[in-house]
Amino acid sequence: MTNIKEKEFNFSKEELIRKPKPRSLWSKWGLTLFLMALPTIIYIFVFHYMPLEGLIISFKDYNAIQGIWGSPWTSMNGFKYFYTFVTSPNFWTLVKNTLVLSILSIIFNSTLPIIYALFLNEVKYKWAKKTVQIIMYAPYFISTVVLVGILFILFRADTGVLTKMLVSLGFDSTSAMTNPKAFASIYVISGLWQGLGWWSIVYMGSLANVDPNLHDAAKIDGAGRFRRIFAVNFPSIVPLAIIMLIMSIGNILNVGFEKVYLMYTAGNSVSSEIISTYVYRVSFPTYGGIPQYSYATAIGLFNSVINIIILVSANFISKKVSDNSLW
Amino acid sequence: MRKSTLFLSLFTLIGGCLVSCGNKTVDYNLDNFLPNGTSENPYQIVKEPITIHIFAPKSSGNPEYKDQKMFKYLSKITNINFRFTTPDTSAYNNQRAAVWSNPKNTPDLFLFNNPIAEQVQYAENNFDALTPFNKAGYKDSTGEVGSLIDNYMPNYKKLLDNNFNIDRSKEDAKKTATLSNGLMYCSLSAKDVARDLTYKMFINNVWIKNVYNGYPKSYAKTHNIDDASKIKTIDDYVGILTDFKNYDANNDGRSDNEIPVSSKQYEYFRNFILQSYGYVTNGMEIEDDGSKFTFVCITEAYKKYLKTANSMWDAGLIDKNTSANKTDTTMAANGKILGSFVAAAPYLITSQKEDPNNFKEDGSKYTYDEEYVTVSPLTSSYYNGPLKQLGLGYFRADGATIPTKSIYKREVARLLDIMYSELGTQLISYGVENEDWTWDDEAHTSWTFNVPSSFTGNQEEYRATITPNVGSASALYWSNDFVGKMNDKVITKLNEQSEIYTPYLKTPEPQEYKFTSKEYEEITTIKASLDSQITYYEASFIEGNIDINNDSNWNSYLSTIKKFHGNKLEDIYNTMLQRYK
Repeated sequence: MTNIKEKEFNFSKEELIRKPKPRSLWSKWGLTLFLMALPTIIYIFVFHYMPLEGLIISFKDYNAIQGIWGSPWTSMNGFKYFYTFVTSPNFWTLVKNTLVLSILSIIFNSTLPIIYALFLNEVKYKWAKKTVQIIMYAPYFISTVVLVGILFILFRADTGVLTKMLVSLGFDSTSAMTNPKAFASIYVISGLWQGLGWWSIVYMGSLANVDPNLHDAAKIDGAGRFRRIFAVNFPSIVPLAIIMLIMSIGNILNVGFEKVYLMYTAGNSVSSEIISTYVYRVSFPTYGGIPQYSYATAIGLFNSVINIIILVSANFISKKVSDNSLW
Repeated sequence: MRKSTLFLSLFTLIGGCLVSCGNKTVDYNLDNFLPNGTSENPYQIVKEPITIHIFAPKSSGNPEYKDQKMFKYLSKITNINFRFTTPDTSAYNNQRAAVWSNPKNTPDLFLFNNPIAEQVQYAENNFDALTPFNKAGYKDSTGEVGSLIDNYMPNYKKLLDNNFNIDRSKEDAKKTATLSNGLMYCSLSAKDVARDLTYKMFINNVWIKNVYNGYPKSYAKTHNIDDASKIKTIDDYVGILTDFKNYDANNDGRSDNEIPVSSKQYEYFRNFILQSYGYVTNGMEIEDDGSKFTFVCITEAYKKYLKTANSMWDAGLIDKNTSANKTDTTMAANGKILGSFVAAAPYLITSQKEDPNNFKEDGSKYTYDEEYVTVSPLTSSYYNGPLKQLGLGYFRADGATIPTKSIYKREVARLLDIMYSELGTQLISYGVENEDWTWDDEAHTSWTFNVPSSFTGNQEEYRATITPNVGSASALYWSNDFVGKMNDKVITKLNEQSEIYTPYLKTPEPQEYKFTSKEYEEITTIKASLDSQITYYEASFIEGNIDINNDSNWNSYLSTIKKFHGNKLEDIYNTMLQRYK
């Protein structure tokens, strides 16, 4: 045995200095990594950058026959449709309705998942924690169409469970789905019911990584449970919360079309008409009309520009105030 | 794997994809075309098979068109293969626009759902995108094609000349199909089946008899209304609904569970009530003498309608779910206790189960749907002119268009002509004779639809395996001469009940009038904002959230309509009308 070991480890000095293999261009340029990233790059390029060409139609009177580049430029140096939108009689109503839904959603959808995650994190028994988590996640997987269908059933004027509860509290017996004043509340609360558990996942993950030594130190310093939640756990998820908030603010005018459109009724239409539903109406006119692609694109571009401005501003403010930012 | 081999494979793959994306050039062979078929098969269109690319909308739940019996049968008899692009409703407009951007993928036929505004836009700008059906001497890359209608569409020509057997004073097929330059870029979609020409207001006739016979102080008894046919005015109708509300009309021992009237949102309810005040819609409507268009929602008649509806709401006659009812299904939740409703057919709302509380003269039980009959159009103290009923129109210029890039114009024209023929109308309605349906007698007075006993779905689901008509209601010719002869107890009764509306149908915006493309754009933009205001105020006035009896509220509403360019909309319509005078 000894002989073998000696033989095995008896290398000359030259042998011990490992000669590096000559690097091929393949590995020198990191082509393997590049190949791995290629599908994503192609995807981003094809589906996110190439369509940007289409934005040009917001400055043109687009028609399908002449195509994007062949269609004539609009009047007002190409800004006709932007002017049409900002001077349309319901412009401010659309902006107001969109902002109301968006701001309420941001406030509640940003804060409540954090509170929920902080408290759920304190649950002692693992089985109880898991059970609550699963129950809270489940509604997220219900499709929007089904969710809104459930809302209409719950708020039916005659048999709706929630309507009966509201009636017992002194409200009238008409369906809240037709009440413009109730629209934003129903939209936000139903959204929370559906998404609270899901949105809290990211915070739960972050809380799991909090150093236990910090808690031990806080305990030694005499901190109770609530004190530790707010002095240890909460600060650890603040940077993440700020990033999430900035990203939400960056989509402030992009309230999802689907749910609002499905919740639309004649009675609530003054509250449920938002920018994206308006875009739908000009894109898909009632029978016989011409789909106004240029106008719809102009509204979309207008939205995006405002969103970018708000995003950059929010990021700048956050950087100044809290040192947390997207970039 | 060696890196060079990997790269080579990658390039080969990309190259292969690019090559396969290219289309082969197809040479047109005029000798292959059979203008009159063959002696054995008059429907044969080509000697050697060709493939025609059809672009058509499809309901997402329906089978693929290539699997539908109608297209398979057409392919067999014409010797033409079909390739389909079938976007569903949500993607239809975008995909339709997209096909023009790739000339090699332009279809040979846009079947159904061809917007008139698009035809006007292309014609106005001389885009040469769509083939005119009636241009003598028309030429394309394959030589002189001539007038498609005159040369290749004898069935369609005959239907046009005879106005599809519809009285021309009702609607004129040729005018509907023709643009201001005198050309027809689209063949018509036509329908003359009574049940599909309007929305129908049903009322429970058994309930009327119950209150008439059982309650001496009821409106029915005091006004001698023992049958729905005796309801002549809006007051009669409201009076009967009030009886439904106050008495045990449905004979179940309770007088508090009847819902007098319901509707899928106010749109359908409105059309019926508004008719008793002289108009059939709340939008633009041409006056009876054709002198001008009136924006009905700002008229005194509309205000009267709102007041009547509001008083009905206050009296508890209108279903409180009306505004939130988006589908027949939601309305059907109360189907068995509805006194009156607007629907395509009663069985869709009430079910066809037996009503345990109401009996026929022979002692048998009614089924719920059997109890309902249609209410004829009404008059009022405000309007006692000719009866009016909203007409959905006999003709639309949206049937089929042929892109100019297609080299198979002659073949497509013949194919369309077959679809307008007796065979075609049968195929698109209920399929193949003696396979899917059979005549009941030698005189062809009725026929029976043969749903195989092994088929597990309902009748309409089976029909969806045959024709694209299911779900989309698309048909080039939905002919009463065939469809009206279906041997089905429920359908036959529905046809009969619907015929009471036929003499009074009024199409508020006659299809023969066309706007300019600029006007179409303006209308789209205005209506995108305006429509939601009108529906909001309508619901608010009816449900009393805004008091219709307060003039300042009405004036505020008028100001809002003006602010949202309602007056401009009216001007656009009347400017267009002036061009036709």
